[in-house]
Amino acid sequence: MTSVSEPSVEIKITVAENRLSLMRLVFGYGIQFKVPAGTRVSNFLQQALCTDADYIENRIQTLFMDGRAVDDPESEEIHSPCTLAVSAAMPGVFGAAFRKQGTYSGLRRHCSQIRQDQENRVKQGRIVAVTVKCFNQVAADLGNELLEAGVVMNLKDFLDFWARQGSILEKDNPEVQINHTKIHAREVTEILCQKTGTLRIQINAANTNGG
Amino acid sequence: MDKILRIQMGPDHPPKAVTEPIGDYAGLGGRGMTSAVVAKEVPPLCHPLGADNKLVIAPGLLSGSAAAMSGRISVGCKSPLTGGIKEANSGGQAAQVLGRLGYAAIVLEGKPAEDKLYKLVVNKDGVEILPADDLKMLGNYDAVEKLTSEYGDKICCLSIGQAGEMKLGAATVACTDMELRPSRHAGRGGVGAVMGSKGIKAIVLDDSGLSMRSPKDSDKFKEANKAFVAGLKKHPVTGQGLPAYGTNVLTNVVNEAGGYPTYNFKTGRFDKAAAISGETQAETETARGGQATHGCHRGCVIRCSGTYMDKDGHYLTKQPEYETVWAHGGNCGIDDLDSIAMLDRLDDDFGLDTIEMGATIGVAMDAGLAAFGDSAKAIELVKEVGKGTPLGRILGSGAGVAGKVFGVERVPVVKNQSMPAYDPRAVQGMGVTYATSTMGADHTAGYAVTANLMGVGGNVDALKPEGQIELSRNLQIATAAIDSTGMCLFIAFAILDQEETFQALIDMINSFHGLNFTGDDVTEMGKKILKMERDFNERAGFGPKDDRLPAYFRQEALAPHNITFQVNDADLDTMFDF
Repeated sequence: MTSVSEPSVEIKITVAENRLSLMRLVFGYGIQFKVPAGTRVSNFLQQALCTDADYIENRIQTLFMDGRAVDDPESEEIHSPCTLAVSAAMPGVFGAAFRKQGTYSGLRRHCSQIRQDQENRVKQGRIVAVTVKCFNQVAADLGNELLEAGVVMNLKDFLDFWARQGSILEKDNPEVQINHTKIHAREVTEILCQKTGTLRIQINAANTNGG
Repeated sequence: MDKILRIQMGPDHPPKAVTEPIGDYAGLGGRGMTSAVVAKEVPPLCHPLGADNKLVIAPGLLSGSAAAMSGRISVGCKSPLTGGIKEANSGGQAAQVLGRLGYAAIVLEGKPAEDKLYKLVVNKDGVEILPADDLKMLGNYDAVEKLTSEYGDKICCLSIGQAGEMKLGAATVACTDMELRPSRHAGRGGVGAVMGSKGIKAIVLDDSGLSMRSPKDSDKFKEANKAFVAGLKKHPVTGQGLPAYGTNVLTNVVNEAGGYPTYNFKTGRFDKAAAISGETQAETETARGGQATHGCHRGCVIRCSGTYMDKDGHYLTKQPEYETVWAHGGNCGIDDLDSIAMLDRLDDDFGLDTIEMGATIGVAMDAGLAAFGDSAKAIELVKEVGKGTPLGRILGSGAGVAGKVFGVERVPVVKNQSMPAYDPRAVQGMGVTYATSTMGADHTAGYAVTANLMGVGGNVDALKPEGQIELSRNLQIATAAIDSTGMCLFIAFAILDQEETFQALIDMINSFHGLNFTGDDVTEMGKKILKMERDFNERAGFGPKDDRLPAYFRQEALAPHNITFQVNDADLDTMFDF
């Protein structure tokens, strides 16, 4: 399991610690990985999100593969390009219905994961692309470390994120580098809108202790 | 809470207040009280805006006590929107204050002879009914400001905005929160229109000089309350998710599931959902100096609300709820939180149900009155309601009326009430509740209390089609019971998963009232309420044809899962076989 290789752009941003939660909104757009077909969802998520089986079992209570609820990530396998979305427990009838193996899963039986037919599966071992969206507490729990290590996302998605949230960040005048060149935060859109493909984003919290 | 305050508005006499013992209604609170009074005292075939209808306002069984989360107030009547029985409930301070004033209910009856407005002032010294023409056609915010300047800042208010005065089907009753903002609403079914028809603009409640209600067994009550609070705090939904992101935490997840009604229920996904998600909303609020975590009443420990500031850092509205963000957001193709917050503010001020108004604007967009995504036009349309223009009055009458006037087939209503933010094709069990609820399409009618804990329905096989009916039935029974306690419905999440938290709730009720309720008794209460409501609706002329989703939900497949609503009519008709 690897991140998608060779993103066309790399951006590094150093933000104030209280802006990390803002940066974690990128997980709502999805981050990208490549993985051998046949990998179990639970194993993939542990590696992709740098966490352990206990977290996948207990904290992630709502899990979707291409919009269909997954009840058993231990046995579910990734066989073709897909989007996984992960969330903590959710409120209401909806939350109860979509909870993994929940009492009310019957309420959404038409939207539960159906094992892929053998013929539609990519050959075992072939590499497939997976987008992972992390919502709510999952992003809060795991996001900072992932951002520090660097994640890959669709460049167009990042531009949408920046268009909506960049003005808040620009006020702080954060340190920004694109492909190792320092730029001003307000130049981000102008530079990136000329590019396509994926982008690797790395976020560090500024040391606010004054040295 | 051993008395009922009846406000008799006429027409044969000037408005007068009569206080009477609680009598046969003893032991009832919240929805149990409102539905019992309406079912017994309101002629089912009466005109909802006529003198025979009554507006019943009831705190819960534990309101006014130290019980956590006991701040829900129920407002019931024959609905001008659905034509059936209605209970809408709200947070804010009113339930606690009314409980401390000792009233199990306020019942507004009759109709004034003249077109005059009144306000009701209730405090420890008694009740006054006073002229209030100076409040005429004021929005809720201005009306409350005037009342505060007159009665001080220790009061709380129930009020109607322009929509209630115009007696529109989407009109709400507003309740002030801890900061005396009219930001909490008994929203559904046009209850504000009935208050308007009684000529009551506002009810001022003042519990100065009164203390909290005392439990029969103080030690047991304290212990149960402590266990209840601990249960809420340790649960990941009530202890973490809701406080951090509010109910709008659902946007990303419902959207991902493909059950997020978008562009007036045309598709199940909104590609800009992340921009209006609870996560984004919380960040926006804190970045502007607002709060992402805030309670709507004293004694709330979940604190799922917040304060939304405009771009200049000034208070605009409370944190818009998930349903509001969906209704005015994805349902209308709008991806701008500031516009959604403005629409929420306007709805609160005019006194409009945000779900009904969002759904109505969606229908209006389908009719070509505005393009999907045009937030400026959506704001203009809602302002039409506040101004009382002919167009505004049509829109303020709800999606059903707007659909008829503008010739739109895709109108997402059941019993003429708009559906909330979960497409019934993606969550079919929710569709069963929308179709069969006594209240019209309502997501809270079957909220979430586990069948196993409540002991209703036995073992459900959820994978069989009839399992959808059983699950919905169990949830509707349980919800009716919880609504009667006056507890915030969000406690349901902790009760769902934690048996000891459910037991703590039962223990609180028992120790407070000196009762020996069991889970079975609570279930029986829920069944009794539903049967009362169902009976009223049948006497009002409702039948199986009213327990149906609009036909297009069976005909148009919803993307991305490409499914239609599949629960058959015969199964729907078994809902009330208990």
